[in-house]
Amino acid sequence: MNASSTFVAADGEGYELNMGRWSRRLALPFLDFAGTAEGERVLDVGCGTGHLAATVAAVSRASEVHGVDLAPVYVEYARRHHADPRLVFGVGDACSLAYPDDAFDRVLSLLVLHFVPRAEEAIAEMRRVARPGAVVGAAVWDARGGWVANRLFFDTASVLDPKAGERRARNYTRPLTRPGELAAAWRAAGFRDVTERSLCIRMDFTSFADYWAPYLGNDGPGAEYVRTLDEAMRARIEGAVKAAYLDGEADGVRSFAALAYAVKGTVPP
Amino acid sequence: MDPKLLEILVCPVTKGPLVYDREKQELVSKAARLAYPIRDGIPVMLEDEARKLTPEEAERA
Repeated sequence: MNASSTFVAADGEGYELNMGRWSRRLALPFLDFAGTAEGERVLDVGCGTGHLAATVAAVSRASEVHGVDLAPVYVEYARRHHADPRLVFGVGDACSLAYPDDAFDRVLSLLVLHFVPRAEEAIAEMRRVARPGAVVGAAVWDARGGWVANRLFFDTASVLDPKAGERRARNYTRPLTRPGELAAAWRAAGFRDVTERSLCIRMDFTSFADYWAPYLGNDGPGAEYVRTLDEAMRARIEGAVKAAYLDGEADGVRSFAALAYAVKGTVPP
Repeated sequence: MDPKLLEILVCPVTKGPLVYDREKQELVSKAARLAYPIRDGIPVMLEDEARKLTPEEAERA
């Protein structure tokens, strides 16, 4: 783990299971909000497995879409899975970007800044590499108030294990995730016309096994916690979470709402 | 490595120019005295992962 991120990154497939499938789903409403335009050079900061960058390329006539992430395993995955020649991926640190001033027409970041302890440095870098007049936008999960599937896990586990409660507290108090914080950070960074909005997606699961699989992996805060458990505690928590997932009905499809805070602003001339 | 990257990347520390060393597969920042590795065609633009240039290399760069 690097000082610039508190997110545990292990492999691209694991990330896909944990979060990639949802970031792909959130990318469209986020781009509806943050916009795209023909001929632009766009940067995706903290691109992960590349879904936002790929969606920008798919829905717009951007000329170049760059993605940068701290985790080489995610960047390799992004490069392998997204073939559009306008997509360019590299490894780098959001707090110390390897791009010149004013290089991009639009700078975006999806589900990243709440994992960056010095988020103000990352936001300052996003502004630096954006040209005057460029739109700079970001979204973070409202994990505390709007992520039902994650609450199901952490609230249930916290009753059985105080250590889960400690992790819940950390997970739901990440930087920039309280109401208004993201917009305040954008104003503090000097952006104009700052707008904040809630975005909503649905997290659809085919079965409890589909819901539970990411917690048995290596990527993200939930899996990071489950890996610390002995077999007995893991089984108890799994049983209790399963009961919450099932609500007394047969196993099968469930659909849970998930909210994100989104913000955008423009770089002053 | 993608030429679009070669064209745009700067040193993340100094924001100054880089020189591409094709043989060593490195991007060299003279001002920072660092060489950033290119692994499987992917540039790793992290200070912690960069190799410190020897005094001779820094002189020549």
